[in-house]
Amino acid sequence: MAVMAGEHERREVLPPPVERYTVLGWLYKNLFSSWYNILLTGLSLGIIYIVLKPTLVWAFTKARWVSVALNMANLFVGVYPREELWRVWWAVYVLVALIGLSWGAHFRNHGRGVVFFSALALLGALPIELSVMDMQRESLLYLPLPAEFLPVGLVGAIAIAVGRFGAQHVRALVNYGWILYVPVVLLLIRGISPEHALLPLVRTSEWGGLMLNIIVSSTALVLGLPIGIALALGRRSQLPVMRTLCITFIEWIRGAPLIMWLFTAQVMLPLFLPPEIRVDKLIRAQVAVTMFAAAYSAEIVRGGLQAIPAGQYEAADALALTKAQSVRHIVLPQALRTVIPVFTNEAIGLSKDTSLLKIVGMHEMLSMATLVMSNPDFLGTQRELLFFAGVIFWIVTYAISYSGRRVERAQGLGRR
Amino acid sequence: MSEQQLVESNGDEPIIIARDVHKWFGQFHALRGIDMEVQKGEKIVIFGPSGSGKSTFIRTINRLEEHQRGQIIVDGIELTHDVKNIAAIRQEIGMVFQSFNLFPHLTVLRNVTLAPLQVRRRSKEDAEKAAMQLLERVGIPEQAEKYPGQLSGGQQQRVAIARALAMQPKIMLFDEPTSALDPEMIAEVLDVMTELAESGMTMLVVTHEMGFAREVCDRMVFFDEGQVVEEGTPEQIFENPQNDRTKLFLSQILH
Repeated sequence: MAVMAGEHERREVLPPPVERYTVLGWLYKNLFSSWYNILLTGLSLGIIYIVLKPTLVWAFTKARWVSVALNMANLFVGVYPREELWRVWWAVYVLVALIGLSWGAHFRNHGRGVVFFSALALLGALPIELSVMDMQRESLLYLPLPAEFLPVGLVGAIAIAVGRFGAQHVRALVNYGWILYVPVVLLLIRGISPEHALLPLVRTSEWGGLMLNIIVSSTALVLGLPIGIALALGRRSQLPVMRTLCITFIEWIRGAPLIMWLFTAQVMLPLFLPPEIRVDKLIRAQVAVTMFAAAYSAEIVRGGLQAIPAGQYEAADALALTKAQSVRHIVLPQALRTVIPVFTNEAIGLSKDTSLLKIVGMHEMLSMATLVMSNPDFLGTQRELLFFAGVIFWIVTYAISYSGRRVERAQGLGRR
Repeated sequence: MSEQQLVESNGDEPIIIARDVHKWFGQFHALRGIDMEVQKGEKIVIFGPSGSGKSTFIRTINRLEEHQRGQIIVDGIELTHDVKNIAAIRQEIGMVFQSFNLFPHLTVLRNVTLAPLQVRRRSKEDAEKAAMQLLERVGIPEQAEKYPGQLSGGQQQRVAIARALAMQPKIMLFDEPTSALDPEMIAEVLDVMTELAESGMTMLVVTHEMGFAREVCDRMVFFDEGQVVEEGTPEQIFENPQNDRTKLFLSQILH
């Protein structure tokens, strides 16, 4: 067709084609489109079947879940006095409220969150009971779901709604909420003094279960990150003394496994302190885990700092920003955004490393599972207990990785 | 509006004085005794082959590079190791880079208001109002809430100019501002720079854009191998270059 001289006709602007797949169409495109895809699909399905079938058969027919069902409190809070459990639930309510507020204010898929929490509330409200066979497989036990699911779900759903509609104000205030959360939760769980009417003291030796894993790992991460940032900046400092101190600290801590630092804290810390000062066992362990998290966080942040192009520092200098101002407004925001995936990884690793507390005599969740296993009433249920502990760890890990991904998306990583 | 007007109240003291400035990068002698005086309101174009020290020289003026010998005096303040002097000088100088160097995690508006808020301590309303005026002046007020990554090169460079102007500097340094742009965008940035020149700003521009030099600047300075080889008005340089090296360079770039 000859090119038309003179006038150039403008083509009409069309909307893009809408892709619509039937279920079969999707299956064909994604799983069976070529011979090797068919092969891989077949292989994967085969492997999944081989692994999953015995597990599911066992889980639904032969497993005796009663040992898990009757020991939920042990697995989640250890030997925490049962009449004070309401305080742990209150800590959960506040946590859920903060999560909901942050979620509503920062992320976009509120629908999913509200549905999740509403479902939880519903489970708590309805008189649902789980039926489990007892250990001898003779009779059925009926165990109700915790009534506390209702307030948890309600608080969560309402918090998301508040976070969504008051996003401006919530975003400014919720960080203070998170910072205050730490002392508030510690106060709730620890209590005040043995004679106090409302919040009697619960010694740290009685803390246990998943609660302990979460407390130790989140405190270590929350405190370790700012220390790590300071170390990373100090390591890049021009002052040789500062630089050497930071490098020494980081390499020293990284030079030994966490378990060794836990032992060191338990055994050696009392040697350095006068005998009158007895540091609480949990605090000793917490210090070890925090320093460990700080050293690793320092290297993670340093990687992020190195990823910032030199031009950014130059532009900040040219605008007469002081070093402190440029670190706070230009350097750190970019460095931290870059390393979110790496830090999520660290958080996941650390949350599971806390099971090492078992070795220094603290009753975190895995240790409680082992204790239940050795209880003669629940003989022979190792698989059920470990399977359950594994599922719980998986849920915690998934929650951390999910929030990591949402934070990345909210920060626009990969887009700007 | 807040542009710099030509005010000659402090007599004829040059606003930038460089005396016998030397700089080494390791063994390499990058600047070999540069002497230059810039009057207030003067527009100077620095040109020359790559590696001749042009960028290095203007970067020593706001201490992005440190000179090892000689004196640099900006607006009466000598540039030494004293951090207070450096900070005071940097507040009076705005710089525009070849690679824009906008802050990618901040919106355009925030890029422009950051320094006035932090360094000049202006109130948020004042800073934002002034920023919007500057964005209008460079022609892109509608982009204020976008992120730099969403803008074209020409738009980004104009934001960079607005960001530098937000500090109300007395001197603007341009380090090859259009070298990373394609031809349509070069024009829009040069227009902004021309308007700035006409409003009386003191400007030092390192560039290869000879058209801009011919029309806008008061003086052209030819750098080669770390030295000032020749300087003069655009008419003198283009029509009657004295030095052979100048003639050679001009013949290469003006064909």
